[in-house]
Amino acid sequence: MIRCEEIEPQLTAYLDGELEGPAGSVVRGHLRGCEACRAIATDEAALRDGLRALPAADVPASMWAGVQARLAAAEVADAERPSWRRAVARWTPSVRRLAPTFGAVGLAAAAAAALIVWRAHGRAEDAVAPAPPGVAITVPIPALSPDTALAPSDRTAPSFGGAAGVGGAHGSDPRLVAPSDDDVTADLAHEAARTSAAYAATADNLAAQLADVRSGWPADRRQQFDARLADLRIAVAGAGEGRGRQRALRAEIRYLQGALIRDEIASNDRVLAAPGRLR
Amino acid sequence: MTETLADALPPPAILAEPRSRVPAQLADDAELIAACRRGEARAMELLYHQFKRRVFGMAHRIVGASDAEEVAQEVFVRVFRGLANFRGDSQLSTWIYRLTVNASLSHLAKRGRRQEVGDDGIAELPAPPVAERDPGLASRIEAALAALPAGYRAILVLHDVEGLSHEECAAILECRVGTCKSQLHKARGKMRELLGPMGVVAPGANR
Repeated sequence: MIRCEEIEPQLTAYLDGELEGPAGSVVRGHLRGCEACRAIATDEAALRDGLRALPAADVPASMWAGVQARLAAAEVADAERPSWRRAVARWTPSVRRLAPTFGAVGLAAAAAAALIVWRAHGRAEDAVAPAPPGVAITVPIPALSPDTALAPSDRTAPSFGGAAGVGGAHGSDPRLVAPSDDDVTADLAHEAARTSAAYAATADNLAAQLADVRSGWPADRRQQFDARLADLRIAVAGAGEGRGRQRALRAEIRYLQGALIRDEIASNDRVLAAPGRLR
Repeated sequence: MTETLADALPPPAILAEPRSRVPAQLADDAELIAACRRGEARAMELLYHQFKRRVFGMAHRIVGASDAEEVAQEVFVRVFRGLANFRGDSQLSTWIYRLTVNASLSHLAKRGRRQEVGDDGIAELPAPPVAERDPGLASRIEAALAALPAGYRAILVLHDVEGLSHEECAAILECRVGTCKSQLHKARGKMRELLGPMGVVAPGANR
């Protein structure tokens, strides 16, 4: 004798016509004899029909004009953006696709690739093909130096706290961990927080790399760098979750990338670039 | 904001546009996508009209009436600007609906749960076109839907309201078909809980 607890999980599939042959017959037979399950089934059927019959919402007549206006504004912004930023933006979609797989490491690698593009633009005005990503990972990833100016714990944004820190600690952030199957739809709501956490991990990774090289800088340059980074982190902490925070984090990442590149150029080319020369 | 942007920019009519190479009847999505990538206004409008009802309808049910237009506009901007990177791994419709669901859920997360679909959104709904056996059912369902966690709302909107198959829902939500089915079962159970005290009774029910 089949019990109600075994029937109930099958009711949705039964009502949607997805149970065939004996499976459907068993449910149907149980429903004939069980008043409680029949009531549940009747309610769910009424609900299903009610949802399907909900009146369609009228599309506002102004919507297409609004889409066109937004597209036009975005195109104008594209035209006004410097060429190196367009080059970076071309890389961004592939970075985001890789992010769930490779986490911060993938992001940092692609970000470094974007840097190579930027540097190429800085040296020659003509557009060049971006370097293969594999070539770009030339900067070693050192352990975080004791120099506290760059410690990720500086990050005061409450939503990711210290969880997005360096040393692989980002893996402990629950929003970066793949959700369980049961929680997939609910988990989509955390998409924005996950993206922010991935950006934060990248920023922390870059900061950890800079912690090492920074010690070789003159004092005034260190001071200038610390002040600017502090401002950017205040902006991150003050931004609301979602695009605002992501924008602030991208600004921080861009600044850290710029600092790394400047340092690399200075040491590789033996050019004593003045601070901010490439900015 | 939209109005200001529209006012600040030259009207589309005076801009030179790529010459349309779109045939009267588009053979398939690939031609439409290619034409949209070239920036052909007619193709873009065609794509918009093809998907506007579902995109707006999904956004409307998930984020509520007051923000639906904003979210739907954002979705179409993402669609047109993202078409260059659309690699055809999934169907065009699946990709657009995925953008819609993600944009809606992100919008809700940004807006904060306290402001989720309010009573105002429900009050604006037009009366059902035909007389039902329970005239108050639609509005009670709308209210229960609005009170549901956003993830459950998404699966109910996709499967039950929009009538998409489990396979399509799973592709949109990027989960397995089995997960999609179990989520739908839980979502309907939650809806029944919410509607229970409100007394959804269909003919033949014994409680």
